[in-house]
Amino acid sequence: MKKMVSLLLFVLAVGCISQERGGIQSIEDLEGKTIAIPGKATVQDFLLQKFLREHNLNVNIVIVKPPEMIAVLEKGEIDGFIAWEPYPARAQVEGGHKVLVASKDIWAHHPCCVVAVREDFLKENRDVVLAVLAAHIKATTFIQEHPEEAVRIGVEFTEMSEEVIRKAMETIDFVYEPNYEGIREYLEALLEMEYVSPEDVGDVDTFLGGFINGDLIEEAVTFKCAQGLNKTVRIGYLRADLHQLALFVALDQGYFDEFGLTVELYTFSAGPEEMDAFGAGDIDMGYLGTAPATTKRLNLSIRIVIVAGVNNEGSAIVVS
Amino acid sequence: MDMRTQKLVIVLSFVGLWQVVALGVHTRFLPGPFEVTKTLVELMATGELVVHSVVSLSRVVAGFFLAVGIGLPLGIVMGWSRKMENFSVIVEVLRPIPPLAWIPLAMIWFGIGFQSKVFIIFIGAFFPILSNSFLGVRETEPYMIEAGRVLGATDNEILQKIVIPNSFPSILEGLRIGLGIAWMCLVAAELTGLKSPLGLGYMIMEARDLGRADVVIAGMITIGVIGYIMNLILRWAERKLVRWKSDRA
Amino acid sequence: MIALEKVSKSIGDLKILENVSFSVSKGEFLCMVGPSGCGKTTLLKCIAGLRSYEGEIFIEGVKSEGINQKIGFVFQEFSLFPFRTVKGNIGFGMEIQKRRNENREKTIRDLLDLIRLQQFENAYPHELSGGMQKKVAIARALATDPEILLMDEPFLMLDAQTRNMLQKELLRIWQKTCKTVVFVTHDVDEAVFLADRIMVLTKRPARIKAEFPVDLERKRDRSSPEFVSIRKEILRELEVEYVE
Repeated sequence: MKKMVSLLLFVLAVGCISQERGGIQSIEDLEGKTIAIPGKATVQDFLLQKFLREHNLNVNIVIVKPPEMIAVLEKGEIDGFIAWEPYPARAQVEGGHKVLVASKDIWAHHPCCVVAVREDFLKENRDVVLAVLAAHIKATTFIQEHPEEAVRIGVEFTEMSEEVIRKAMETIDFVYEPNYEGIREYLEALLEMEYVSPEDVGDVDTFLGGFINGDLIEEAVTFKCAQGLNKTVRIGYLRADLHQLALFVALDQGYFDEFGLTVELYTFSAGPEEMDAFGAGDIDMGYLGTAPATTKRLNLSIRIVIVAGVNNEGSAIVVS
Repeated sequence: MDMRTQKLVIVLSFVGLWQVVALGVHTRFLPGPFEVTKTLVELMATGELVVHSVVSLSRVVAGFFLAVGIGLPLGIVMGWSRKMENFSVIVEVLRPIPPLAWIPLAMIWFGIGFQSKVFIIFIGAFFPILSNSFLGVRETEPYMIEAGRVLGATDNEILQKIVIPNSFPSILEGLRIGLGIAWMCLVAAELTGLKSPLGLGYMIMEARDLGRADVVIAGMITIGVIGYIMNLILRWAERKLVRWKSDRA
Repeated sequence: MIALEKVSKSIGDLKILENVSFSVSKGEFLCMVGPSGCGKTTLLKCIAGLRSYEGEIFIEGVKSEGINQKIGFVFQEFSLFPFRTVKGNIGFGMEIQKRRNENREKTIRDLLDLIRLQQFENAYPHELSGGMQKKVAIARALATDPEILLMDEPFLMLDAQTRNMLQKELLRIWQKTCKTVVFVTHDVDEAVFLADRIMVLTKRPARIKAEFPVDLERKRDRSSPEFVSIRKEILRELEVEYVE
């Protein structure tokens, strides 16, 4: 009898081990697997780490650019990835993969992308910043009021199918107010994760006071200008990041033209790269994730200010 | 001032200059030598630096030996055989393509694992090894080959006993250059996405994302120092193995 | 020992040798002189089997085609294998012939004695002077015990003193080993000093122009009237070739 039981257990054990490549069914299955993030200190990295800590899991984290994530997943080189929409939606619609955890389940209503501006640019071009924010507000409102149009613009922007975009939009919450509390939580977690050092931060509230400017967005709601600004502004964004749809809606609907603003667009594959561009002065304003903005603001002293929110939630851990 | 002291002075001046520039520029953009040294020590203490270095070395060594295994014999055959001469056209076209340009193909063919890195490193090391072996054979003086022939050697014997030994200096130099380039391709190779968060290239990439310029520079210095040591070792091996080469030549 | 019959060679349209016929007796020291570029090196290499040609060449009565074990060759250039020691160089031919080690060792030692370079057994060519290298080259050619030694302006690249010294050394070695030597040079002085017989070649395409026996006893005195007169005659023949 004992022999039978141990044999049975042995077979079960072997069965479990050989399940390794057999796909992840539950959260516990993540243990020891390989998960890809778009980059260190991105929002997704942040969310994943938070999630792993809460569930006491250890995984092998690797960095893959989002456009390559699905291919790499299908090749079996990674067991899962976490990325911004529309990549999770695409993986589901086109690849038949599944979402293991949505970001809202990791941190409900978590802020994700923000609009940032270089401190020195803000000082010299307050009117431009206000104009951009005004366009941003209008665009965000537009997305909420005209979802169908938004989908169309989203398809153009990301070059993915309508089905994918529709599905993706379901999980994104488009906003424009900067979320002070949310950013504070990011900062505290970044300190805990030792991505940034306490010496650089100093007093948290003082730092945040200088880092976030919530007044501008309020001014922007009623911002008007008599004649056109006739200026150019260089705005960065992340490639095919559906969170940043507002930027493209604003372009599509001509909101920038209304203010006489010419916009030069700069694409980046992830937040950390965009921060480098800020640091070098190559862009004036940008749409990017809170985590990389905060991390590199502190580690490289890149002086930017967060002036608006862009979206909440809208990411997911996808597995085969 | 003798050579050694001179070299020391130059290095110290460079470090001093670095410190001065670092003070002028915003510290975060260019950490000074002290900060970087501190970071280096930290990295070594945690063992991180050693682990990353070993992993990177293993990748480079694998790619390098693959390049030697294919490039060396191929170069010799191409140099020796008249027929193979036409292949040199293909080589000349492929050679200027920088290893970095092969990265997209490497990812498509080999994915993000060990193989794609080894492939890039292989491409980097392959051409110098191939070229130098080829040239070593080609540059063998005809009268030396005739000397062998007149002493009764067959073509094969001439190749083995005369041409190849005569090509040793060229071949070894090809190996040394190839290894140097292989090591340089390292960071590029480790940028092809990674299946494991290990390697000096990865360490630098991660540091870049986090904005840790000091770790980036520490990584660069480590890469430089290891490359320097490897070069010294191969130079020493060259001297030992090719005692017959006069300084004039 | 050696007989050439109507040996000709062309490379494409360029005629280098035209109907060259002559013979060499066993043990003879024959010198061939001719203007630069006339094809004397090519002729020598044809005999050695290193070049193709039309016509026939006989070695000891047997038609010779390709490389012949009975022929040793000393090149114009410094042709020692730089990656082998003196011992390694001299032993090369025997290695190819797969001779046994003890056999090889003895031959090498004997040759080193002959050329008087015993202490340099383990030296590399680059450590030797030009003259020493040439001596080793001669030893290397002699190691397989060929009957015939072909020498292509071997002392051309040496300075005058070394050349003179080597000419004397060569004569000594020749007298000891009794080989048949065909020695090519453009230096008439050298030819008259060394040879039993001198053949003058025309300019390209080369033909045998004239033949001069040299009956003087060795060691020859370069200032003796006989020496000078033979030299004058040969020079006269050569001058014509140079002028045209």
